[in-house]
Amino acid sequence: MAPKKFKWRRTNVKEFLCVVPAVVMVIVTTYYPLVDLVRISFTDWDMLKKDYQYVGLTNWVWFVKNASRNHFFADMKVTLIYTFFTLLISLVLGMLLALLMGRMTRPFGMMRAVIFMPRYVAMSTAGIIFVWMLNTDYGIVNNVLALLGAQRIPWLTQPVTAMISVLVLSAWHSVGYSMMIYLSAMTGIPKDYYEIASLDGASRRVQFFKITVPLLSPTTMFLLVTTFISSMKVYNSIDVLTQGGPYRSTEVIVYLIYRLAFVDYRVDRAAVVATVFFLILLAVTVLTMRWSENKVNYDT
Amino acid sequence: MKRRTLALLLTAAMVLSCLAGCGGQSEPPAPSSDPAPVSPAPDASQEPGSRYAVTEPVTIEFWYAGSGNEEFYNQVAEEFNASQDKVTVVPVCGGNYAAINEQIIGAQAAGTGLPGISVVNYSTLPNYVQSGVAEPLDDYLADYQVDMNDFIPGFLSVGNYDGVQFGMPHGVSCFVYYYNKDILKEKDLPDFPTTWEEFKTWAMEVHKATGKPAYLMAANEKTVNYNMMQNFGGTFIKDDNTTGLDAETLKTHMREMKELIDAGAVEWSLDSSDILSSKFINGEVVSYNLSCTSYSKFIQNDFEVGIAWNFKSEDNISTVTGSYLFIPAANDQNVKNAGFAFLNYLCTPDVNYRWAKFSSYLTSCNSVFNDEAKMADIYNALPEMRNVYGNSDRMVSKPKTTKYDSGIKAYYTALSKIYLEGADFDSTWNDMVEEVNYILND
Repeated sequence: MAPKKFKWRRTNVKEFLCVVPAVVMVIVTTYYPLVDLVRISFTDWDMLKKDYQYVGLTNWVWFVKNASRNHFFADMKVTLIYTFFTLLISLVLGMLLALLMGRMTRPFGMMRAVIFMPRYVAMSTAGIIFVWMLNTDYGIVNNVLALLGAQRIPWLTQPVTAMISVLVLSAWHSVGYSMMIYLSAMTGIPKDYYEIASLDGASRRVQFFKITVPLLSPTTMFLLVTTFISSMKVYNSIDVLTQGGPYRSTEVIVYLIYRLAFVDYRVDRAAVVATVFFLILLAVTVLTMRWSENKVNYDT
Repeated sequence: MKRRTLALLLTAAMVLSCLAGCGGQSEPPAPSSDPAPVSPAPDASQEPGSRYAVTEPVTIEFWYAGSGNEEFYNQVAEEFNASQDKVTVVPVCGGNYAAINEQIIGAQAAGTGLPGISVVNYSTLPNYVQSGVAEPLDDYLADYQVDMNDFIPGFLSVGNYDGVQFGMPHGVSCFVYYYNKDILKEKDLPDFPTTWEEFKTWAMEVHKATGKPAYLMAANEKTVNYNMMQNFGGTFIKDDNTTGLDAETLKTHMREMKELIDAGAVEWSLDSSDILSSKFINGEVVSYNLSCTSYSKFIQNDFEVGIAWNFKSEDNISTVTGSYLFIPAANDQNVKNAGFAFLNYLCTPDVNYRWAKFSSYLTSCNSVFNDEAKMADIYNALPEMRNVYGNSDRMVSKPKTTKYDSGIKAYYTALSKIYLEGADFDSTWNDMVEEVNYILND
């Protein structure tokens, strides 16, 4: 059957006009900066001088020729490691906490609030507190370790422990959010499924893996995509806690972009890295969404 | 469908080829490495400030760094505002230097919201000069008949590029060695040494007697690293635009430093500056390198410290650090005139002297420096500052290149890898030299 031909009606015009302000806002605040970013990558602008020039593919050639020297690959590896572990912590710990805190009683409500509360704390504030908590000589963490007879750990000044510290801060800050999202999704799963499974003799563990996990897959998908994007774009916690150190072991891509723009004053090069990074994020997100179309269960 | 895809591809290719064809223009000239300051010739026939007089009443912002300075700046602005009726200065604390820089960049890019006058960190000024953010001040200085000979040359030269003055010294400081007098007295140990050879013996002796590191090195502090490198015979950038960080004397001294670190006489630390300061204040280490501006805070907290100048090795310089005053070039002329009027007021010997006394920043005026009564007043409040002012001829400008921050970071990162991670000295050093050369020639 041939599709109906669209005709402009008065109601269509009215609806269109209602949408225009939002569309304009999105274009101005999201798409224009994106297009401008790509444009800047073809200039020699340092963000300071007024009269810059178009330099063609110079910055892109620089990027391709010097990607390893300019720490792009190293920083991408750091970003991916950070993202992988953040995803793991957010999804697994979030789901486990949701299972644990699922009871709708006052004490459990209070515990949920306590777990969610770090979300209200600004990352920069939390970072400063963590810097002191994790300090080798004065930090409370090492003081406790020393009391237990363990050795003090230089949390923020060794490559591996610095990354662990950043991950702990991120987990502390975000796991409450995952828990709450999972909790709200769990309340949407009909109780009948569990009752029928119980009658059929399914254990709690089987119920969890055969009912809860599959029916939570749209929520998992949502958290996967949003946490993936936010983790790949991490900056605040790194800036406050380690400034990308020691020895660039926690330098993520956004920190590289910052360094190029605000330390080296090469906004043109920063634009190239930002554009490449945007394309990578876009591609991974699209692929994930495509993949999820077949794998995610939307039956509930 | 295929036709549409083909059309899109062709359009994209055309856009790319157009953009590719636009390249190939020259870079703006980089500021030269060490120009001698040139005094603008005053025009005695004119009334001072007549050419750049403020024509219409205007309110301007003055962006300064560091909370804790409000009291001083508010008072000075109040005095200035009361002294004339055309300019109203509103002092605004912009946070630290990095935060001010980000705000300047943002306002410059937006084309609006720039202050009438601002401070800028000494290491950021070359970027402002190269990109035309900072207004050349020579004509203003000549118009106001400012006595350029009254400024300490080493301080003035940091704001001077190719003979043109772009920044005026304001919150000038340098890094010095602080040592804990009580610990040395208690163990009957000698004062902080004056040469590297003496330092090696002293550090071991202090460590042996106290069980503490004799010296705490801020491994991530660029100025401390630069000073040490220069004093050990290294050169960050040579005339041929390559680095002199491969100097054998520097490598030899840094190997000796490793021996001191391995023996526990020196602690090489990646901790943040506030944590390092706490270690020094708590008496966990005997000496530490800090800006001379920290001295007033030690005094306020009744912490008796000694100040020593950089020990002599190949050299014993200390680079001038701190802030310079500049006027954004993008402002309209009336605002720039107003900005300079306040800049000139801040640079007067009287205000400069009060600022030095208030903050323990260094006075940049010879007339204050040579005034015994005023200096006695400063030394009375800050006695150990004698050891800083006594070496004002050893204060020099850091290399005036926009590659400084990235290059020096590559240098001290390599040192930490060697000292803390046990990386091989020679290969790490060679990689570092290669990286710095790449940065300098990029």
